[in-house]
Amino acid sequence: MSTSLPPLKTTILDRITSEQICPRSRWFFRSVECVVWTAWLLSVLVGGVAVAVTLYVVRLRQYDLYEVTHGNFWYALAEALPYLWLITLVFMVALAVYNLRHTARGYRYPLWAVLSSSMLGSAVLGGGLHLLNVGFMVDRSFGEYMPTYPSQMKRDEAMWQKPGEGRLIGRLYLPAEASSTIVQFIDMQEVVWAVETKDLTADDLGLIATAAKVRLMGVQPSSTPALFYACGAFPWHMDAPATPPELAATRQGYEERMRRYANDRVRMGQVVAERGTEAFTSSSPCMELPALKRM
Amino acid sequence: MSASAIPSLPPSDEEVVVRTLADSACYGELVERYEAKLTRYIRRLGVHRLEDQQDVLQDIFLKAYRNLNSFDTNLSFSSWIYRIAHNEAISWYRKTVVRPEGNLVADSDEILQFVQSKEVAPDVAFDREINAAEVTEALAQIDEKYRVVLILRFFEHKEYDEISDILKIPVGSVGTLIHRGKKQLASVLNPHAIRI
Repeated sequence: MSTSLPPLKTTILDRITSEQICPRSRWFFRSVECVVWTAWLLSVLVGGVAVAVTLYVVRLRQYDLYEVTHGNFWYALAEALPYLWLITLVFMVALAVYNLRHTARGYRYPLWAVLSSSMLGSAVLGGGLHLLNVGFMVDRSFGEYMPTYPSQMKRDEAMWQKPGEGRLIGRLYLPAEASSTIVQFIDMQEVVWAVETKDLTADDLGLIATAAKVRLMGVQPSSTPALFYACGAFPWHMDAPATPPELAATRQGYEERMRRYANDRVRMGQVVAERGTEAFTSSSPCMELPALKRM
Repeated sequence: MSASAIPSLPPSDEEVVVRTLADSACYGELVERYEAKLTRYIRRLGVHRLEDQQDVLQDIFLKAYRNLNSFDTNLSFSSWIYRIAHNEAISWYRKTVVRPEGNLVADSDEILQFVQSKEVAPDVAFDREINAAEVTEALAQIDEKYRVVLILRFFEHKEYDEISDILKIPVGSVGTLIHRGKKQLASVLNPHAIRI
Protein backbone atom coordinates (compact mmCIF):
# COMPACT_ATOMS: atom_id res chain seq x y z
CA MET A 1 0.00 0.00 0.00
CA SER A 2 1.50 3.31 -0.95
CA THR A 3 0.96 6.59 0.84
CA SER A 4 0.52 9.54 -1.47
CA LEU A 5 2.77 12.47 -0.61
CA PRO A 6 1.42 16.03 -0.76
CA PRO A 7 2.74 18.09 -3.67
CA LEU A 8 6.18 19.48 -2.96
CA LYS A 9 4.95 23.01 -3.69
CA THR A 10 2.37 22.72 -0.90
CA THR A 11 4.89 21.27 1.54
CA ILE A 12 7.38 24.04 0.85
CA LEU A 13 4.84 26.86 1.12
CA ASP A 14 3.41 25.33 4.29
CA ARG A 15 6.82 25.11 5.87
CA ILE A 16 7.64 28.69 4.87
CA THR A 17 4.46 29.81 6.61
CA SER A 18 4.55 27.56 9.66
CA GLU A 19 8.29 28.00 10.33
CA GLN A 20 8.09 31.70 9.49
CA ILE A 21 10.98 31.42 7.09
CA CYS A 22 12.01 34.70 5.50
CA PRO A 23 14.63 35.44 2.88
CA ARG A 24 17.79 36.80 4.48
CA SER A 25 18.20 40.50 3.95
CA ARG A 26 20.00 41.74 0.86
CA TRP A 27 22.28 43.67 3.17
CA PHE A 28 23.44 40.45 4.79
CA PHE A 29 24.75 39.15 1.48
CA ARG A 30 26.23 42.50 0.55
CA SER A 31 28.00 42.61 3.90
CA VAL A 32 29.42 39.12 3.36
CA GLU A 33 30.64 40.19 -0.06
CA CYS A 34 32.14 43.34 1.45
CA VAL A 35 33.94 41.28 4.10
CA VAL A 36 35.44 39.02 1.44
CA TRP A 37 36.58 41.97 -0.68
CA THR A 38 37.97 43.74 2.40
CA ALA A 39 39.86 40.58 3.33
CA TRP A 40 41.24 40.49 -0.22
CA LEU A 41 42.21 44.14 -0.02
CA LEU A 42 43.90 43.63 3.35
CA SER A 43 45.84 40.64 2.12
CA VAL A 44 47.01 42.60 -0.92
CA LEU A 45 47.90 45.52 1.35
CA VAL A 46 49.92 43.39 3.76
CA GLY A 47 51.47 41.69 0.73
CA GLY A 48 52.38 45.16 -0.53
CA VAL A 49 54.05 46.00 2.78
CA ALA A 50 55.96 42.71 2.55
CA VAL A 51 57.12 43.69 -0.94
CA ALA A 52 58.11 47.16 0.30
CA VAL A 53 60.19 45.76 3.17
CA THR A 54 61.73 43.16 0.86
CA LEU A 55 62.68 45.88 -1.64
CA TYR A 56 64.12 47.97 1.17
CA VAL A 57 66.22 45.03 2.41
CA VAL A 58 67.38 44.08 -1.06
CA ARG A 59 68.24 47.69 -1.85
CA LEU A 60 70.22 47.94 1.38
CA ARG A 61 72.77 45.60 -0.14
CA GLN A 62 73.99 44.28 3.19
CA TYR A 63 76.00 41.82 1.17
CA ASP A 64 78.01 44.70 -0.31
CA LEU A 65 80.92 44.12 2.04
CA TYR A 66 80.52 40.37 1.96
CA GLU A 67 84.27 39.75 1.96
CA VAL A 68 84.38 41.37 5.40
CA THR A 69 81.25 39.82 6.84
CA HIS A 70 80.97 36.41 5.19
CA GLY A 71 82.95 33.67 3.56
CA ASN A 72 81.41 34.25 0.15
CA PHE A 73 78.82 36.33 -1.69
CA TRP A 74 76.10 33.67 -1.82
CA TYR A 75 76.26 33.02 1.90
CA ALA A 76 75.98 36.76 2.51
CA LEU A 77 73.07 37.05 0.11
CA ALA A 78 71.27 34.09 1.67
CA GLU A 79 71.63 35.62 5.10
CA ALA A 80 70.50 39.06 3.93
CA LEU A 81 67.22 37.85 2.41
CA PRO A 82 64.16 38.81 4.48
CA TYR A 83 62.64 35.36 4.83
CA LEU A 84 59.99 36.47 7.27
CA TRP A 85 58.63 38.98 4.75
CA LEU A 86 58.98 36.62 1.82
CA ILE A 87 56.94 34.02 3.71
CA THR A 88 54.45 36.74 4.62
CA LEU A 89 54.19 37.71 0.97
CA VAL A 90 53.56 34.13 -0.17
CA PHE A 91 50.96 33.66 2.56
CA MET A 92 49.23 36.94 1.72
CA VAL A 93 49.12 36.17 -1.99
CA ALA A 94 47.60 32.77 -1.19
CA LEU A 95 45.07 34.47 1.08
CA ALA A 96 44.28 37.07 -1.58
CA VAL A 97 43.70 34.32 -4.15
CA TYR A 98 41.46 32.46 -1.70
CA ASN A 99 39.44 35.60 -0.98
CA LEU A 100 39.13 36.59 -4.61
CA ARG A 101 37.97 33.10 -5.54
CA HIS A 102 35.28 33.40 -2.88
CA THR A 103 33.79 36.63 -4.15
CA ALA A 104 30.47 36.31 -5.99
CA ARG A 105 32.11 35.94 -9.40
CA GLY A 106 35.66 35.08 -8.44
CA TYR A 107 35.25 31.46 -9.52
CA ARG A 108 34.82 32.51 -13.15
CA TYR A 109 38.43 33.55 -13.54
CA PRO A 110 41.21 31.02 -14.07
CA LEU A 111 43.66 30.49 -11.24
CA TRP A 112 46.56 32.08 -13.12
CA ALA A 113 44.54 35.28 -13.63
CA VAL A 114 43.50 35.45 -9.98
CA LEU A 115 47.02 34.62 -8.82
CA SER A 116 48.77 37.08 -11.11
CA SER A 117 46.31 39.88 -10.34
CA SER A 118 46.87 39.42 -6.60
CA MET A 119 50.64 39.26 -7.06
CA LEU A 120 50.60 42.26 -9.36
CA GLY A 121 48.46 44.17 -6.85
CA SER A 122 50.96 43.47 -4.07
CA ALA A 123 53.93 44.22 -6.33
CA VAL A 124 52.61 47.57 -7.58
CA LEU A 125 51.47 48.60 -4.12
CA GLY A 126 54.76 47.43 -2.62
CA GLY A 127 56.72 49.40 -5.20
CA GLY A 128 54.75 52.52 -4.38
CA LEU A 129 55.17 52.02 -0.64
CA HIS A 130 58.87 51.46 -1.14
CA LEU A 131 59.18 54.79 -2.90
CA LEU A 132 57.55 56.37 0.16
CA ASN A 133 60.11 54.59 2.40
CA VAL A 134 57.37 52.56 4.04
CA GLY A 135 59.55 49.44 3.95
CA PHE A 136 62.23 51.20 5.94
CA MET A 137 59.73 52.65 8.42
CA VAL A 138 57.95 49.34 8.96
CA ASP A 139 61.18 47.46 9.48
CA ARG A 140 62.49 50.03 11.93
CA SER A 141 59.20 50.33 13.84
CA PHE A 142 58.83 46.58 14.16
CA GLY A 143 62.42 46.43 15.41
CA GLU A 144 61.74 49.08 18.02
CA TYR A 145 58.47 47.74 19.37
CA MET A 146 58.95 44.00 18.93
CA PRO A 147 62.01 42.70 20.76
CA THR A 148 62.02 39.43 18.82
CA TYR A 149 61.70 41.02 15.37
CA PRO A 150 65.05 40.85 13.55
CA SER A 151 65.08 44.30 11.97
CA GLN A 152 67.80 45.18 9.53
CA MET A 153 69.19 47.58 12.10
CA LYS A 154 69.53 44.81 14.68
CA ARG A 155 70.94 42.37 12.15
CA ASP A 156 73.49 44.88 10.92
CA GLU A 157 74.54 45.82 14.44
CA ALA A 158 74.93 42.17 15.38
CA MET A 159 76.91 41.49 12.21
CA TRP A 160 79.33 44.36 12.79
CA GLN A 161 79.68 44.03 16.56
CA LYS A 162 82.29 41.29 16.20
CA PRO A 163 85.70 42.78 16.97
CA GLY A 164 87.29 39.33 17.10
CA GLU A 165 86.36 38.89 13.45
CA GLY A 166 87.62 42.36 12.52
CA ARG A 167 84.32 44.25 12.61
CA LEU A 168 83.34 46.96 15.03
CA ILE A 169 80.35 49.29 15.07
CA GLY A 170 79.88 52.39 17.18
CA ARG A 171 80.76 56.04 17.26
CA LEU A 172 83.57 58.37 18.23
CA TYR A 173 83.89 58.78 21.98
CA LEU A 174 86.99 60.99 22.21
CA PRO A 175 89.02 62.35 19.32
CA ALA A 176 92.76 61.69 19.05
CA GLU A 177 95.19 63.92 20.89
CA ALA A 178 97.37 66.17 18.81
CA SER A 179 100.36 63.86 18.63
CA SER A 180 98.40 60.62 18.38
CA THR A 181 96.44 58.66 15.81
CA ILE A 182 94.47 56.75 18.41
CA VAL A 183 90.85 57.71 19.02
CA GLN A 184 88.44 56.53 21.70
CA PHE A 185 85.54 54.67 20.14
CA ILE A 186 82.45 53.41 21.92
CA ASP A 187 80.76 50.30 20.49
CA MET A 188 77.16 49.07 20.68
CA GLN A 189 77.82 47.33 24.00
CA GLU A 190 79.14 50.55 25.53
CA VAL A 191 82.72 49.29 25.50
CA VAL A 192 85.25 52.03 24.86
CA TRP A 193 87.99 51.01 22.45
CA ALA A 194 91.32 52.56 21.68
CA VAL A 195 91.27 52.58 17.88
CA GLU A 196 94.41 53.04 15.86
CA THR A 197 93.51 55.15 12.82
CA LYS A 198 96.83 55.68 11.11
CA ASP A 199 95.89 53.52 8.11
CA LEU A 200 92.61 55.32 7.56
CA THR A 201 92.05 57.79 4.76
CA ALA A 202 91.09 61.43 5.27
CA ASP A 203 87.54 60.53 4.26
CA ASP A 204 87.45 57.78 6.89
CA LEU A 205 88.68 60.17 9.56
CA GLY A 206 86.16 62.77 8.47
CA LEU A 207 83.41 60.19 8.75
CA ILE A 208 84.48 59.15 12.25
CA ALA A 209 84.80 62.79 13.31
CA THR A 210 81.10 63.37 12.62
CA ALA A 211 80.40 61.12 15.64
CA ALA A 212 77.78 59.35 13.60
CA LYS A 213 77.49 55.62 13.90
CA VAL A 214 80.14 53.98 11.68
CA ARG A 215 81.34 50.51 10.81
CA LEU A 216 85.01 49.78 11.23
CA MET A 217 86.92 47.07 9.45
CA GLY A 218 90.20 46.06 10.99
CA VAL A 219 92.08 43.83 13.37
CA GLN A 220 91.69 43.32 17.08
CA PRO A 221 95.17 42.92 18.62
CA SER A 222 93.75 42.76 22.16
CA SER A 223 90.42 42.68 23.93
CA THR A 224 91.79 43.67 27.38
CA PRO A 225 92.63 46.42 27.05
CA ALA A 226 90.24 46.98 24.18
CA LEU A 227 92.42 47.78 21.19
CA PHE A 228 91.35 47.83 17.56
CA TYR A 229 93.44 48.55 14.50
CA ALA A 230 91.15 50.20 11.96
CA CYS A 231 91.69 49.50 8.28
CA GLY A 232 88.55 51.16 6.98
CA ALA A 233 85.52 53.11 8.12
CA PHE A 234 82.14 52.86 6.41
CA PRO A 235 78.95 54.81 6.99
CA TRP A 236 76.09 53.08 8.69
CA HIS A 237 73.11 53.17 6.36
CA MET A 238 70.37 52.27 8.83
CA ASP A 239 69.39 55.65 10.25
CA ALA A 240 67.84 56.68 6.96
CA PRO A 241 67.36 54.83 3.67
CA ALA A 242 70.58 55.13 1.69
CA THR A 243 70.44 56.12 -1.94
CA PRO A 244 71.93 53.82 -4.59
CA PRO A 245 74.81 56.29 -5.27
CA GLU A 246 75.66 56.32 -1.54
CA LEU A 247 75.69 52.54 -1.44
CA ALA A 248 77.73 52.38 -4.62
CA ALA A 249 80.21 54.88 -3.17
CA THR A 250 80.62 52.73 -0.06
CA ARG A 251 81.38 49.67 -2.16
CA GLN A 252 83.71 51.63 -4.41
CA GLY A 253 85.60 53.07 -1.44
CA TYR A 254 85.94 49.62 0.01
CA GLU A 255 87.31 48.15 -3.22
CA GLU A 256 89.81 50.98 -3.66
CA ARG A 257 91.03 50.50 -0.12
CA MET A 258 91.41 46.75 -0.53
CA ARG A 259 93.30 47.26 -3.79
CA ARG A 260 95.66 49.60 -1.95
CA TYR A 261 96.29 47.02 0.77
CA ALA A 262 96.83 44.35 -1.83
CA ASN A 263 99.37 46.53 -3.64
CA ASP A 264 101.08 47.36 -0.34
CA ARG A 265 101.28 43.68 0.38
CA VAL A 266 102.93 43.00 -2.97
CA ARG A 267 105.36 45.83 -2.42
CA MET A 268 106.07 44.54 1.10
CA GLY A 269 106.86 41.16 -0.37
CA GLN A 270 109.36 42.77 -2.70
CA VAL A 271 110.93 44.74 0.20
CA VAL A 272 111.22 41.57 2.26
CA ALA A 273 112.86 39.84 -0.65
CA GLU A 274 115.34 42.70 -0.98
CA ARG A 275 116.03 43.59 2.65
CA GLY A 276 115.11 40.53 4.72
CA THR A 277 112.49 39.74 7.36
CA GLU A 278 113.14 42.83 9.51
CA ALA A 279 110.83 44.68 7.12
CA PHE A 280 107.85 42.90 8.80
CA THR A 281 108.23 45.11 11.85
CA SER A 282 106.90 48.06 9.89
CA SER A 283 104.10 46.25 8.00
CA SER A 284 100.45 47.16 8.55
CA PRO A 285 98.00 44.55 9.96
CA CYS A 286 95.63 45.69 7.23
CA MET A 287 97.71 43.79 4.70
CA GLU A 288 96.75 40.56 6.47
CA LEU A 289 92.99 41.13 6.56
CA PRO A 290 91.05 37.91 5.91
CA ALA A 291 88.79 39.90 3.55
CA LEU A 292 91.80 40.61 1.36
CA LYS A 293 92.27 36.91 0.75
CA ARG A 294 88.59 36.50 -0.19
CA MET A 295 88.66 39.11 -2.94
CA MET B 1 -6.01 39.62 -36.24
CA SER B 2 -5.96 41.43 -32.94
CA ALA B 3 -2.96 41.69 -30.62
CA SER B 4 -4.98 40.22 -27.77
CA ALA B 5 -4.96 36.89 -29.58
CA ILE B 6 -1.21 36.54 -28.99
CA PRO B 7 -0.74 34.49 -25.83
CA SER B 8 1.42 36.23 -23.25
CA LEU B 9 4.68 34.54 -22.31
CA PRO B 10 4.94 33.11 -18.82
CA PRO B 11 7.09 35.21 -16.50
CA SER B 12 10.77 34.38 -16.47
CA ASP B 13 12.36 32.74 -13.43
CA GLU B 14 14.01 36.03 -12.57
CA GLU B 15 10.64 37.82 -12.66
CA VAL B 16 9.13 35.17 -10.39
CA VAL B 17 12.03 35.67 -7.97
CA VAL B 18 11.23 39.38 -7.79
CA ARG B 19 7.54 38.60 -7.20
CA THR B 20 8.42 36.00 -4.55
CA LEU B 21 10.38 38.58 -2.58
CA ALA B 22 7.17 40.59 -2.36
CA ASP B 23 4.82 37.62 -1.92
CA SER B 24 6.08 34.24 -0.72
CA ALA B 25 3.14 32.44 -2.35
CA CYS B 26 4.74 33.08 -5.75
CA TYR B 27 7.55 30.76 -4.76
CA GLY B 28 5.31 27.81 -5.54
CA GLU B 29 5.71 28.64 -9.24
CA LEU B 30 9.47 28.17 -9.02
CA VAL B 31 9.07 24.95 -7.04
CA GLU B 32 6.80 23.57 -9.74
CA ARG B 33 9.17 24.58 -12.51
CA TYR B 34 12.22 22.94 -10.97
CA GLU B 35 10.85 20.01 -9.00
CA ALA B 36 11.17 17.45 -11.79
CA LYS B 37 14.51 18.73 -13.08
CA LEU B 38 16.12 18.79 -9.66
CA THR B 39 14.66 15.42 -8.69
CA ARG B 40 16.27 13.92 -11.76
CA TYR B 41 19.55 15.70 -11.07
CA ILE B 42 19.90 14.70 -7.42
CA ARG B 43 18.90 11.13 -8.35
CA ARG B 44 21.78 11.08 -10.80
CA LEU B 45 24.07 12.39 -8.10
CA GLY B 46 23.16 9.43 -5.93
CA VAL B 47 20.06 10.38 -3.93
CA HIS B 48 18.14 7.30 -4.94
CA ARG B 49 15.38 6.64 -2.43
CA LEU B 50 12.14 8.56 -2.89
CA GLU B 51 12.01 9.63 0.77
CA ASP B 52 15.57 10.92 0.61
CA GLN B 53 14.81 12.78 -2.58
CA GLN B 54 11.86 14.49 -0.91
CA ASP B 55 14.00 15.50 2.06
CA VAL B 56 16.81 16.81 -0.11
CA LEU B 57 14.39 18.67 -2.40
CA GLN B 58 12.77 20.36 0.59
CA ASP B 59 16.20 21.37 1.85
CA ILE B 60 17.09 22.71 -1.59
CA PHE B 61 13.96 24.81 -2.02
CA LEU B 62 13.98 26.13 1.53
CA LYS B 63 17.65 27.01 1.31
CA ALA B 64 17.05 28.71 -2.02
CA TYR B 65 14.16 30.65 -0.49
CA ARG B 66 16.23 31.80 2.50
CA ASN B 67 19.01 32.93 0.18
CA LEU B 68 16.81 34.43 -2.49
CA ASN B 69 18.35 37.86 -1.95
CA SER B 70 21.76 36.50 -2.80
CA PHE B 71 20.58 35.49 -6.27
CA ASP B 72 22.51 37.52 -8.79
CA THR B 73 20.17 38.43 -11.63
CA ASN B 74 23.16 38.45 -13.97
CA LEU B 75 23.23 34.68 -13.57
CA SER B 76 20.44 32.38 -14.63
CA PHE B 77 18.15 31.21 -11.87
CA SER B 78 18.51 27.69 -13.22
CA SER B 79 22.29 27.72 -12.64
CA TRP B 80 21.82 29.22 -9.22
CA ILE B 81 19.33 26.63 -7.99
CA TYR B 82 21.29 23.80 -9.60
CA ARG B 83 24.29 24.99 -7.59
CA ILE B 84 22.26 24.75 -4.39
CA ALA B 85 20.92 21.35 -5.45
CA HIS B 86 24.42 20.15 -6.21
CA ASN B 87 25.74 21.25 -2.81
CA GLU B 88 22.80 19.76 -0.95
CA ALA B 89 23.00 16.44 -2.77
CA ILE B 90 26.76 16.19 -2.25
CA SER B 91 26.48 17.05 1.43
CA TRP B 92 23.58 14.61 1.79
CA TYR B 93 25.48 11.61 0.58
CA ARG B 94 28.58 12.67 2.49
CA LYS B 95 26.52 12.96 5.66
CA THR B 96 24.87 9.63 5.14
CA VAL B 97 28.20 8.02 4.21
CA VAL B 98 26.70 6.64 1.06
CA ARG B 99 28.88 6.40 -1.96
CA PRO B 100 26.98 6.91 -5.17
CA GLU B 101 28.15 3.69 -6.77
CA GLY B 102 25.33 1.97 -8.55
CA ASN B 103 22.90 4.75 -7.79
CA LEU B 104 23.24 6.49 -11.09
CA VAL B 105 20.20 6.11 -13.14
CA ALA B 106 20.73 4.26 -16.34
CA ASP B 107 19.02 6.18 -19.05
CA SER B 108 19.78 4.31 -22.24
CA ASP B 109 19.03 7.10 -24.71
CA GLU B 110 21.02 9.70 -22.87
CA ILE B 111 23.89 7.35 -22.21
CA LEU B 112 23.97 6.43 -25.87
CA GLN B 113 24.09 10.10 -26.84
CA PHE B 114 26.74 10.72 -24.24
CA VAL B 115 29.10 8.00 -25.32
CA GLN B 116 28.67 8.93 -28.94
CA SER B 117 29.56 12.54 -28.24
CA LYS B 118 32.76 13.65 -29.93
CA GLU B 119 32.74 17.26 -28.81
CA VAL B 120 35.74 17.07 -26.51
CA ALA B 121 37.77 14.13 -27.61
CA PRO B 122 37.26 13.59 -31.30
CA ASP B 123 39.89 10.89 -31.26
CA VAL B 124 37.72 8.80 -28.95
CA ALA B 125 34.91 7.08 -30.78
CA PHE B 126 32.58 4.72 -29.04
CA ASP B 127 30.94 1.76 -30.55
CA ARG B 128 27.23 1.97 -31.34
CA GLU B 129 26.55 -1.35 -29.71
CA ILE B 130 27.39 0.02 -26.35
CA ASN B 131 26.15 -1.51 -23.20
CA ALA B 132 24.33 1.17 -21.19
CA ALA B 133 24.69 -0.74 -17.97
CA GLU B 134 28.45 -0.84 -18.39
CA VAL B 135 28.59 2.92 -18.87
CA THR B 136 26.44 3.50 -15.80
CA GLU B 137 28.73 1.30 -13.76
CA ALA B 138 31.81 3.00 -15.16
CA LEU B 139 30.38 6.46 -14.41
CA ALA B 140 29.94 5.43 -10.82
CA GLN B 141 33.59 4.40 -10.64
CA ILE B 142 35.21 7.58 -11.91
CA ASP B 143 36.23 10.52 -9.72
CA GLU B 144 33.38 12.59 -8.33
CA LYS B 145 34.64 15.80 -9.96
CA TYR B 146 34.53 14.16 -13.39
CA ARG B 147 31.25 12.36 -12.83
CA VAL B 148 29.49 15.59 -11.85
CA VAL B 149 30.57 17.53 -14.94
CA LEU B 150 29.72 14.62 -17.22
CA ILE B 151 26.24 14.39 -15.68
CA LEU B 152 25.68 18.12 -16.02
CA ARG B 153 26.95 18.23 -19.57
CA PHE B 154 25.51 15.07 -21.07
CA PHE B 155 22.53 14.25 -18.88
CA GLU B 156 21.34 17.69 -17.82
CA HIS B 157 22.45 19.23 -21.13
CA LYS B 158 24.01 22.26 -19.51
CA GLU B 159 26.26 24.65 -21.39
CA TYR B 160 29.84 25.20 -20.26
CA ASP B 161 29.11 28.60 -18.70
CA GLU B 162 26.14 27.13 -16.84
CA ILE B 163 28.29 24.30 -15.49
CA SER B 164 30.85 26.93 -14.53
CA ASP B 165 28.18 28.79 -12.53
CA ILE B 166 26.77 25.63 -10.95
CA LEU B 167 30.11 24.21 -9.84
CA LYS B 168 31.78 27.60 -9.29
CA ILE B 169 34.77 26.80 -11.43
CA PRO B 170 36.24 28.67 -14.41
CA VAL B 171 34.75 27.85 -17.80
CA GLY B 172 38.14 26.63 -18.98
CA SER B 173 38.23 24.11 -16.17
CA VAL B 174 34.85 22.75 -17.24
CA GLY B 175 36.27 21.79 -20.63
CA THR B 176 39.33 20.26 -19.00
CA LEU B 177 37.24 18.24 -16.55
CA ILE B 178 34.96 16.97 -19.30
CA HIS B 179 37.93 15.96 -21.41
CA ARG B 180 39.67 14.20 -18.52
CA GLY B 181 36.40 12.70 -17.33
CA LYS B 182 35.78 11.12 -20.68
CA LYS B 183 39.31 9.78 -20.76
CA GLN B 184 38.96 8.32 -17.29
CA LEU B 185 35.60 6.86 -18.19
CA ALA B 186 37.10 5.28 -21.27
CA SER B 187 39.86 3.74 -19.20
CA VAL B 188 37.36 2.31 -16.72
CA LEU B 189 34.99 0.92 -19.31
CA ASN B 190 35.31 -2.74 -20.05
CA PRO B 191 37.33 -2.98 -23.25
CA HIS B 192 35.47 -6.15 -24.24
CA ALA B 193 32.12 -4.45 -24.08
CA ILE B 194 33.12 -1.17 -25.63
CA ARG B 195 35.49 -0.57 -28.48
CA ILE B 196 37.37 2.74 -28.26
